[in-house]
Amino acid sequence: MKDRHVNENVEIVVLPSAAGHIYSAADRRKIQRLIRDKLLLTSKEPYHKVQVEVKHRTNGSPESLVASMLRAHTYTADIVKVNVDSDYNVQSIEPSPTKG
Amino acid sequence: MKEKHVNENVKVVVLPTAVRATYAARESGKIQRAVMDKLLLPSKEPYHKVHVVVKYGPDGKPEALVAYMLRAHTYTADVVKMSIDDTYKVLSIEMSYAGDEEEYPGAPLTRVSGKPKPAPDMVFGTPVPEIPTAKAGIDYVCKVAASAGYKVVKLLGKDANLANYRHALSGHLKAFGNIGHGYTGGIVLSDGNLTSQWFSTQAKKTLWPEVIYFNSCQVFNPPLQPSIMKAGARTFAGGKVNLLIGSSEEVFKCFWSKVLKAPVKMGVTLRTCEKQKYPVPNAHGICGDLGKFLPIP
Repeated sequence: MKDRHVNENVEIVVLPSAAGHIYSAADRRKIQRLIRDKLLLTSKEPYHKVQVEVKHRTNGSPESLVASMLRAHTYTADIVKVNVDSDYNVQSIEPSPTKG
Repeated sequence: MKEKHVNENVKVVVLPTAVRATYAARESGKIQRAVMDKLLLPSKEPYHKVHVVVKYGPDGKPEALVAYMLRAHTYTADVVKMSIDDTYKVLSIEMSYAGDEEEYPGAPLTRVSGKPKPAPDMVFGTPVPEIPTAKAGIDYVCKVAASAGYKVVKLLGKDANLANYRHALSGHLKAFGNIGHGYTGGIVLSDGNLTSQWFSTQAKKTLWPEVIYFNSCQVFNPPLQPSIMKAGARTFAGGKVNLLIGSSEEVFKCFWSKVLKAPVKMGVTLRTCEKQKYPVPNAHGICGDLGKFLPIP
């Protein structure tokens, strides 16, 4: 029997953008799949929830995802920036920048 | 000497919308002037801030300004709609406008004016009430504060959002407490992160005379900790390192129940509570005024 990953069922919330961008269900699914596959399932740290903010280029296309990953056992938020192309394919991952 | 109007220096913020993300300085200036001249200066009610959403007609031209006027002494927002022409000249004013609340990004908890609520003394909240110990911690502290005679507002889940936290923190409270996730640059709320960037753009007495306690990991570090002190907090306490879910709330509860009930020094109390309730020493930090909570300076 295949072991379930500790983060398999972690809730991923795509936050509404301050600039009023609206995400389709398909876009949301892409964002959630990316966060699950590239961040949650590759981590051994158990998480409680992930909140994702999408940053946009001036032409409105997505540029990066900033994931606030809330740990399950401490009140720690790991902040990870994922640079993406216009179709939400990963270009690079920058772990824990200080969003300050 | 000419007297200054109570609303003369109120900040007017033009919010981005789905139609327009940014406005040129000239356009923002016209919108801000319309709100100042037609709404703020004719009013005797003191306001804290005004958020403005521009509404557009089908031809893409501006047709109305909806102003969310946040009162200075209560959690009331008076919502006013001003019809305008395409040069932002005001044509008519509809007071107590009730429509389109959903279009206001980051609306505060209480929006449309009704019976004004008294300004709270203290606000405690958690964006993660689904964590039982977080919610229990906030419930407990609210109860202790209320029984000590303070007016308390509790913000849970979706209400623990950026607009409500910013509004509360800039309301010159006596105390503010949050239980939730954090990092060196901010805390995570239900709709985004409240960061050091926001604190560092506040005037130097914005948070005065607040005792602020973020029960969050790593927040007692730069850049967040100095930015909070720079914005005028009386005292700031928080996690220096990662704080455990479960035992950190016990320290939070212990601290508030002691300082609100008895004339004990805040610095010593945090150390004592940590020693009694937390498995490792020196996980929490406290700075600013470490003396007794009362009297409020």
